[in-house]
Formats: sequence, C-alpha cells, structure tokens
Amino acid sequence: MLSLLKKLASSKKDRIYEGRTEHLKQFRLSANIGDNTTRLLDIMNNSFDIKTRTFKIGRTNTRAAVIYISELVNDFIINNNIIKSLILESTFVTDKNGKVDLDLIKDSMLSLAEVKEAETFDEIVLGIMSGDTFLCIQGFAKGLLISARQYKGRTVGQPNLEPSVKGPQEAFVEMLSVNLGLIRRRIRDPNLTFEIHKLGRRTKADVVLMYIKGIAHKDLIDKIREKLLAIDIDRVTTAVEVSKLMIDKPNSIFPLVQVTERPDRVVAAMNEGRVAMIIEGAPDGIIIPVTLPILMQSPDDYFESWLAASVIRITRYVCFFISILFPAIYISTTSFHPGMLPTRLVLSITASRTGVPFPAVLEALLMEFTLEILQEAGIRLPRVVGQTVSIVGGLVIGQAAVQAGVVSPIMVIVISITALSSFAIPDYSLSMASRIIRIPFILLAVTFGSFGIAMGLLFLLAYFSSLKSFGLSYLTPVAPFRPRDSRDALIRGPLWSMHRRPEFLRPEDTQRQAPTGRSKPNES
Amino acid sequence: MKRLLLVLVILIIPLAGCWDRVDIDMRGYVLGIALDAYPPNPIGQNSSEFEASPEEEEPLERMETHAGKPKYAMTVQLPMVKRAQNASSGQMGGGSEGSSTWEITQIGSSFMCMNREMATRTNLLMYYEHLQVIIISDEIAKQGLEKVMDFFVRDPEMRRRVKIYISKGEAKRILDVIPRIEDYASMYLSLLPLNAKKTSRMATDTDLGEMIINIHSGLDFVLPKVEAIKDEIKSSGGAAIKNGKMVGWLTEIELEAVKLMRNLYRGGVLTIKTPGEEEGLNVLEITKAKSTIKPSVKNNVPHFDIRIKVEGNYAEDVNIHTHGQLDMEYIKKLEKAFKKEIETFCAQTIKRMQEEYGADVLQLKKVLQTKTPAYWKKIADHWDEIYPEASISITADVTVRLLGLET
Repeated sequence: MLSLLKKLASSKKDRIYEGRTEHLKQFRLSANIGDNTTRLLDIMNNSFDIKTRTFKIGRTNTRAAVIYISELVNDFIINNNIIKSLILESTFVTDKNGKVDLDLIKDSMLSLAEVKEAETFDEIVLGIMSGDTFLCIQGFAKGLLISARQYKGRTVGQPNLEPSVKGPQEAFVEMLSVNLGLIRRRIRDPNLTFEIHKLGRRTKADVVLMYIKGIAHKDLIDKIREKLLAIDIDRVTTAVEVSKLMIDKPNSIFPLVQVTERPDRVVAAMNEGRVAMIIEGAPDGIIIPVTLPILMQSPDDYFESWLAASVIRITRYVCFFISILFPAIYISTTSFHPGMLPTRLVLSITASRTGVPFPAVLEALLMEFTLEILQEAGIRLPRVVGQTVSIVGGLVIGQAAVQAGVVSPIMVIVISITALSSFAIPDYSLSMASRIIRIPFILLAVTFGSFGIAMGLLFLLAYFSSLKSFGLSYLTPVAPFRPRDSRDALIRGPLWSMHRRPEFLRPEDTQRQAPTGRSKPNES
Repeated sequence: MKRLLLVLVILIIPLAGCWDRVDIDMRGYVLGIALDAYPPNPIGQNSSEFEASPEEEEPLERMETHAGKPKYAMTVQLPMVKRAQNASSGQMGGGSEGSSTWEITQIGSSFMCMNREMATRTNLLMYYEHLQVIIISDEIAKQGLEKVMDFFVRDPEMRRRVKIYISKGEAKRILDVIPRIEDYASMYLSLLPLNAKKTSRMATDTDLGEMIINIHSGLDFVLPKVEAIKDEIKSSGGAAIKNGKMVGWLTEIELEAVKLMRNLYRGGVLTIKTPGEEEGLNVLEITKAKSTIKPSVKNNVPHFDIRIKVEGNYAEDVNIHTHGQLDMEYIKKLEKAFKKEIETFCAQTIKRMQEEYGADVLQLKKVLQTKTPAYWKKIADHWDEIYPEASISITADVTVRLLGLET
C-alpha cells in the first residue's frame, strides 16, 4: 500500500519542474524601456492587475516606467514618492551635464527605505510578484526595485484554537510582517535571528526560521535548515504543510511538530531553545521539536499557582486517556467483566439498556460516528445556521434517540464525556489523534475485553517511545526520564524551581535565571 | 515478508470472534440463593413420608437426574430490572405492588445440575459474580454445611465475600420478602451487617470465605440467623456450627457474649438494673471492647482466662433520678455492676455452649493450638470430650467515659 503510494509519487516527480523561472536568469535588461516593459508584461502574461506607467523625468526627455501589481503596493507611496517626485523634480536627478543619473535617483531622490538595483529578469519578476515596484529608465541596462509593499489582510485578532483565560490574547495573522513584529516586540534581544528562505517553485513563499542564537542548539538549527532546503515542491501555503514534509515519520497520527497561533508561545518556546518557523500567508507557526508532555501544556498553566496548574494539567492527562479509552472500557466491563462493577451500577446499566436493539459495540460505534458527523458539520456550517447543529445534535440525537430506544442513555453519557475530554486536550492535532485511535481501542475491547485494551495500551506505549520529533524522543522527559526536566511535564513546578532551561533540548545557554530567581520575601 | 506477518497478526483479531462477550442486559444477575431441603420436612415428621409428593404441582421445578435422588431445592433470585427501575423512577411515586424480582426454584440432586437446568427456564445467562447472599435453611444446616457448599466454593464465578445466613424454617421465604425501602431482599440482607457497629446482636464477618476457612480448619463458629415475615426481615442471634453441622440456635444475648469474648464486638448496648434500687435501669453504650484469652494447663485440664476490657458511654437511665448523683463514686459503683453483668451472661453462655451444644464457638481450640502446641498434640484427638470439661474464668473491666448532657 505504502510502496504503491511512493511509486505513484515518484512517477509524477518530473512535472514539478515546469514552473521554473530560473531560465530567466540569462536574460538581462536592455537599455530600451519599451523593450523591457513589453518583455516583462509578456513574461507575466499581461495580467490585468499588473500596472505600467511611463512618464518623462522632470523636464528632461528621458522616459521612465514603473511596473507594479496594484493590489500589493501602497498607491500613495508610488504616486507621491516615486512618480510625483520624478516628474516634478529634475534638479536632483540630473548630473552636471543635465543627463539623468540612475545612482542619483537611487541615492538622493527616492525617499524610501528599501531600494535595490536589479539587472536580470528573474530577480525583477520575483520582485514584482512579491509586491515591489520596478522602476526602469531609458538608457540604463538596470533598474530599481523599490519596496513599497502593502499587503492587505486581517488585523491581529484573538486566538481561535488556543484560547486562554489570562495572558496575551493576540494571534498570528496571514501577514508575515505583522507576525514578525508580534515576535520582535516580545524579545528585544539582538540574538533573536530571523532567517528567510523562499520555498515553492511557483509560490516562492517567504519562510522564516526563528531562533535565539546562543540558546537553540546549533545542530538543531542546521538540521532543520537542511531539511527545509531539501524540500522541492511547487507550492506551499502553510507552515504545517511544510512541517509535514520535514518530519521523520510522515505516517504518524500524532503531531511531531507543534502548531500554534500564539506569538507568546513561540517566544516561550524559543526561550527554551526550540526553533520556530512561520510562513507568509498563513496564520500558523510551527515549533520544533515537540514532545507529548509539551503538547499537554497550555499557556494558562503559567498564569496560575503551580499547585492549581499542576492539578489542571493532571486532569488534562486523565482526559487524554478518557478520550482514548472510555468507550472501550465501558464496552469491555459491561460485556466481558460485569463482575468488576458495583452491583447497583450493573443493575442500573442493565435497566438503561433493556430494549436497546444493538449490542454495546454497535451502539458505541453509532454514537461515535454521530459525534464525528456533528463535529465535522459544526466546522462546515455557516455561522448563521450554526445553531441548528446544537439543536439537532443535542436534542434529536441525545434525547430523541434515547426515548426511541435506539441507544441507551448511559451510552450517551459515555460518548459525551469522551467528546468533552477530547476537547480538554490543548493541542488540536493531538485531540484529533485521540479521536482516531479510539476506534481501534473499541474494536480491541469488543474482541478481547480488558485484555485487548491492555494489549492496545502496550502497543501505544511502544509506539510513543519509538516516535521521534527531530531526534527528540516523544516521551521526554518522562522516558527517557530526566528528573530535573520533569518539573514541567506531568506537573507544572514552581517557576523559581525551573531556573535551568530544559536539558533535553540541549540549549547552549542552560541557565534561565539565578538559582534563587525570585525576589526575597519581606522579612518583618 | 514482514508485512505479510503483520497482516496475519491483524487477521487473528477477528478470529477471536468476540470471545465470551455477552451484553450486560443479556445476563441474569443472581442476587441471592436460598437452599432448602426437599421434600420440606415439617418439624416432627419423617421426611420419608413425603417421598411421593404430587408431581403435577410443580412440574417445571423438577428435573431428570443421571444419578442421585432429588434432595435439595435451590431458589435463585433474579432482579426484574425494568420493573424495579420503573417503580422507583416511575409516575407519581412508588407504591406499585408486586415483586421486582423473580425467584426460580429448582429441585435436584446436585447444585451444578440445578444451576444448568435453570438455563432451560430463563432466557438470561445466569451470572453469579454479583451474588450477595446465600441463605441456608436450618434443616440443611443440621445435615451438614460442607456437603452442600462445595459447588459454591469451587465455582469460579462465586465470590468469597458472599454473606451466609441460616434461616429459621424455609429459606426461600426470606427471598420472597419485598423490603419496603429496597427492591431486592438479597441486597437488603447484604447491607444489614453494616449496622453491626450499632448493635452486637447480629453476627458479622461471616462470608463464604470465612466459613470455608473455619470448616477446613475444623473450627466451630456462629452463622447469623435470619427470620422473615411478609415484608420484613430480621437478622439477630445465630446458629452454632460444630464440625460443619448446625447444633442449635444462639439467642441474641448469647451472641453478644460470644462476640465479646471472641473479640468481634464492634459496638452495642448493655443494660443493668440500678444497683440498690427496685425499678431503675442503667444503660451503657459500649464503644470499645477488647478480649484476650490466656490458656493454661492444670492437671491435664485446660484452663482459659478470658479478660474483657470494655469502654463505653453512659447512655441512658430509666425510672431513676440520677440528677446530681453521677459523681465518681456512683460511676465506680456502676462500673462494678456492668462488670458483674458481663461476667454473668458470658459465663452462662459458655456453660450452655459447653454442656448443651458442645460447640467451641469461642474457637478455644485455635488458642490452644497456637499458645500451647505441646499440650495440644497430646489431646488433639480428644478435644471434643475435653472441651466441655475445660474451666473458663471471665474477668471484665468496664470504664465509663462520657456521661452525656445530663448529670
């Protein structure tokens, strides 16, 4: 099955190269702007949103042209700082002989921060496509790429998938520059490094690797960069997609990278020595590497007393197991080992099940399927009719199905608790994984009873231990056990006790705070 | 190759074919079992006269046997879950008449056979892991417990925590009772011993496991007695079991004495006549009781020195005025009276046990075995003759702690 997929993938490999623009490298600008503009427009297939404006500079007869994509630039800057200045001011742009000088224009005329010279077509086309404005002047075999980009998009909003009660309420947006700003604002350290790479033969998206030099281990950065650069694909739209191409076990249903939309999380992760990645056009950041205990952390943990936070975190672990196991345990105890339940409970379950036509498994799978439908439909439904789901789901499926005797009320309780528990898992991908492995556990429970569940758990444990996220064991710091790092695993230790960065991330700077990092209590 | 192996392993799973999966509502949860002799033997009549009982009356309860005459009647109590549930949560409050249980009686020679024969009469799979009580009629108990209990000990579905009761008269009658605040008589009986810390007139710690240990180590013991009228059940007093056979009943007070001396006392009440008065009664609520038995041998006759330390609260006085009287002196006087009362009724009990039943319900045998093994070896074979001759002295020590709000 897998090998078949691989064969299919490799047979179509060659076709990706059609989108290459590297051949443009050999073409250089000519001194004639007429040729240049027609050629550029030709390369860009004369799309209507590519605007060209030709004009004469000052009172000279030298012609110039600007080419840009109207939706990606700031019109005001182009009109006022480029076209207007060039048309009205001739003194600054001409040399002693009254001839237009490109260097003068660049150095003394354009009051814009980012201006660079360009000669080859690949560079120019990419610039224009990214939102730069290209200025070329008659008589020069080179032009200027002026950055007056203005991408339009959302403003910074609240996190949707990772809401928190306290703490920062900002989430990434689709604009890379905004996102970078959100991070820079939080770390005023010159060692915070942003590495830009372009990815995708057609999309040429800006991918930014972020880390703090001196904390993140060099090998880790090199490894990630190497994997990133090895990707050869025609389009990438989100960072998650990129990460899927980078992980070692692409078939794992458990997330091997952490996806987040919270800049504060990225900042915290980088401070521990992890590496983040973000991409133009997508509001998700990727943090590498990740372990299961890290996925069970929530930003809220750090805003509460460590005791309260630890209790909540343990609850979350319990929920993780409930989410995976509860229907399976219900089925195995009721259909195989009713002797394990208290007598009164057995009798009340029996009473609630009398008249139900299906065996417990079928009932569970039916409800499970209904639950998946509800969740999927809930995402898809337009907000205007969103209420329908809760009414149909809650009333029809919950109450009516019980009254009609199709399912037993106790099964509704079991599935509801399971569903609720899966939402208590902080990471959406992990919660999704727990939903999926629930089904094999139900099947194991119905064939082998508790014995089957035990087998499944053993298998799951072995699988967890075999998983690696960029070389880091998935269960660290629990297995391999690292006592010092366990302060932030199953429990959330007091902040003053975590004066060292997690050792398993091998940070180059291990000390996070002075060993007595807290202020001394008042002595009175 | 590896992949093929994986596929084969996965294919094993459906091969198991759901193993012994039975849905929870397909099982019949046996809550109680009553064991009676068959044919029933009314007091004073010989059972052989009833040998030819009319077959038409209970045709379904009889079965064919490979071997052995039908000697026992086993009644199992199955909950009728749906009806029970409706009665408790149904319209306009309970009050619905009629039983919420189903008692199936089977007559046969062996319990395993009877158990399986019942499968021909119910559509449910009999399930014994939730068994709460086994009620044995005194008639069977007198014939010998070991003879009938084998199946209940051997079967893997039986739990050792099943409570054992001896019924006065027909055991099935107890299961027929519909308790007013509980749907199932068996459940009611299994929870009854929880009251043992309030009263000492109820035998406790008498589950199947305990009973079998006692029988196998040749010890005598007491099982709780249970009686019933139409809608009420009472468990007080006990049945003395000697060599696995019931030898007679213990009264409520005798049971109290046995529990006191055997260190099984969990709480109870002691009443005495007020010393030096005609009418008055003083009541002690015993909160703590501890007994130690010290054996010694004099002239080849064993002597047992039983010391009982009792602590309690002054709980009530009836028909007298103690206002202002409860000073230390008075309390000392009371303590002495309580002590005397304990010593008296314990001694009476032992006397009856020794002389009338010959049952070593205090398990003095165990004391001898552990404390004086050399002597025990000599008399091991003659214990039954020596026991009634053994001299037993009882010393009680009573402390009154709290006096309550009245003085």
